[in-house]
Amino acid sequence: MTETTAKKGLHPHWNLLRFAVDQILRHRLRSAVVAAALVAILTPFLTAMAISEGVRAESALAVHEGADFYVASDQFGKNAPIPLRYLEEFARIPGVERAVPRVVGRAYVNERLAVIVGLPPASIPPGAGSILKGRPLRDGARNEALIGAALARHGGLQVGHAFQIPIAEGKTFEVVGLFQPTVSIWGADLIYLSFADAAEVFGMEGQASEILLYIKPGYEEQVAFSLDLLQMVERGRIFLRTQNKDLVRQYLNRGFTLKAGIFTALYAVAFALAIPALLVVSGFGMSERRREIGVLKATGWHTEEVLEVVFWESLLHAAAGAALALLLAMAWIYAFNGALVAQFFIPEIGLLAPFPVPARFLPLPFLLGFLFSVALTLVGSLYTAWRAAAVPPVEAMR
Amino acid sequence: MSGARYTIREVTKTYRAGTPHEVRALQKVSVEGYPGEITVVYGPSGSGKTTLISLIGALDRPTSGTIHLNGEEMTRFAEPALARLRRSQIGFIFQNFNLLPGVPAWENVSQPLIPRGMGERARRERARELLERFHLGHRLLHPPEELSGGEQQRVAIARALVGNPEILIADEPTSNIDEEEIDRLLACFTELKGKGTTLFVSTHDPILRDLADVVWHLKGGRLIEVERRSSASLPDRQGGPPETPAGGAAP
Repeated sequence: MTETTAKKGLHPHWNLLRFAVDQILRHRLRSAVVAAALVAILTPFLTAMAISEGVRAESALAVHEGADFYVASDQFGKNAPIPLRYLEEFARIPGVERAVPRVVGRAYVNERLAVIVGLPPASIPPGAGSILKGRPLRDGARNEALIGAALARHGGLQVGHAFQIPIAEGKTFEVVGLFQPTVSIWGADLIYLSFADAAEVFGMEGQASEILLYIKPGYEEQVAFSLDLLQMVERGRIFLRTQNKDLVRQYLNRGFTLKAGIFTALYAVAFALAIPALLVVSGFGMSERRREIGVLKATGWHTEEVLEVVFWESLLHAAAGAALALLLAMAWIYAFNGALVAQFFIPEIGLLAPFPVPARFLPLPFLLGFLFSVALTLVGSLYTAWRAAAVPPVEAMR
Repeated sequence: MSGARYTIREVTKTYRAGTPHEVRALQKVSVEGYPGEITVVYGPSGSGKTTLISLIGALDRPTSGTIHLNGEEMTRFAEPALARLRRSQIGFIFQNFNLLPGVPAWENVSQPLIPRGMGERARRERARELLERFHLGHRLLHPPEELSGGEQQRVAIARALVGNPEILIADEPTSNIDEEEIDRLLACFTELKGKGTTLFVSTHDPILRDLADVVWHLKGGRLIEVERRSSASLPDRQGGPPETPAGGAAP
């Protein structure tokens, strides 16, 4: 039988792939150790990337649902309250659909730090969340609160319960409704009060933290120009600090890209450090493998055929490792709420986030992880296999 | 199968050359092998038998000297050409069999056919055919660990024959098997010779000498005698076989 006739019309590469699968199954321990090493390296990376993407997506949603302009006053380069008298002026600017005052602050409620947002009840965006129990705030009603479900759970609050906010002595609020926020990272510890109540709690009567402007489509530039004009008319009595939707979106994106970038960079270092470790791991059982390669060469295998088997093995190891890492990353997020990793992307959440950590598993990080794995296993195994295959078979079998 | 002719000239093989642990396994061996013959490479342990047949089998390269196969200098071949040679012309039976552990007998036998692109069914059929010929039809699915020494050797022989080689090389084939298996082995070698296969067998077992057409006597890495045992005239001898080794020491 000659080589050419045997190869005619048949599938040597398919045979080599099948042989690689057999080798993986035959050397279960070696395969398991390589896959475990890959899983250990990849799982935190995929978890982090999924959380980063989830937070980014929620932020984008929040920005999309939010106002077109956020106007506060500027004091020493920082946001400062803006007097409510500007509300009517802003509402008169051509193109402005609505001008809504908002008070935002933080306070402890039942020993838990909550974000308190005061808005006219009719202005609470419908996309902010869904009412789980009770009802929304009523226009004109006072001392009512709508509480995020996670905060209610941790604070032991239910519809009909009363609570106090320590910084607002003497005021008691009634929980009229529990809501599930659409954007969990912002909404979990949220309490909605009426604008008047929130202003009273934070001592901001006659002022708002910011005024939200909702603009008719196509009027953004005109409104921005009008705000600049207003600034000039005020002649230094107030400095307006305006942020539009695009700017907020840019800030958010830049922040998350930076964080994801830092994390990826840290991981690139970790991957680099993992290479020698994986060299050791994938060289695990190397003397046995070297002898086998010698046998294959002695029985007529070409070096490139041996290397092709090793390549398929590495590819399959990487695919198995990456798939397993993906499953574990999902478990990490959905069963353990991204503990230890989420705090890198969501500040001040502590060890375990009190709300479901948002996550999105996109193909790109998985593909990156898979490629990293392929590179790692190839570096670990191809070189050593090549060394075994390049020497005379007798030497490899010795 | 037409067999193959070897011309070995001044072949030396030194391990760990240039170190204090240098070992001269072969020293200036010159000899010729003829197609369709059984050549027994005979000598005590450490005489260089395995080294010489490894060189003949293209499993190793000499430190110096040349080996021609059918007129081509195989010592000048690059590794891909040597691999082609091993695939298409040579079958090797190792002393310790070198079967892949944990792999069923039929897969061990058909393993050299994998990179040739032969489909699994055809490979299995070819392996079954060979294993049945060696009375191992009932052991197709057994890995080497579940086979006796003799059975493992028969699997190794089947593997060496799976590509229909012109040259079969066996290293100490009787060292790990019992008498009954030895008889079977001798019958197999005789049958192969009858089909025109050129055989090289290294051994220190006198029983195999009776089988030989020619015996190369090695001692201390030197060829000390070429003993022609066959009375039949040699085909196309081109000057006939040397009665004494060309480069080796006189007996």
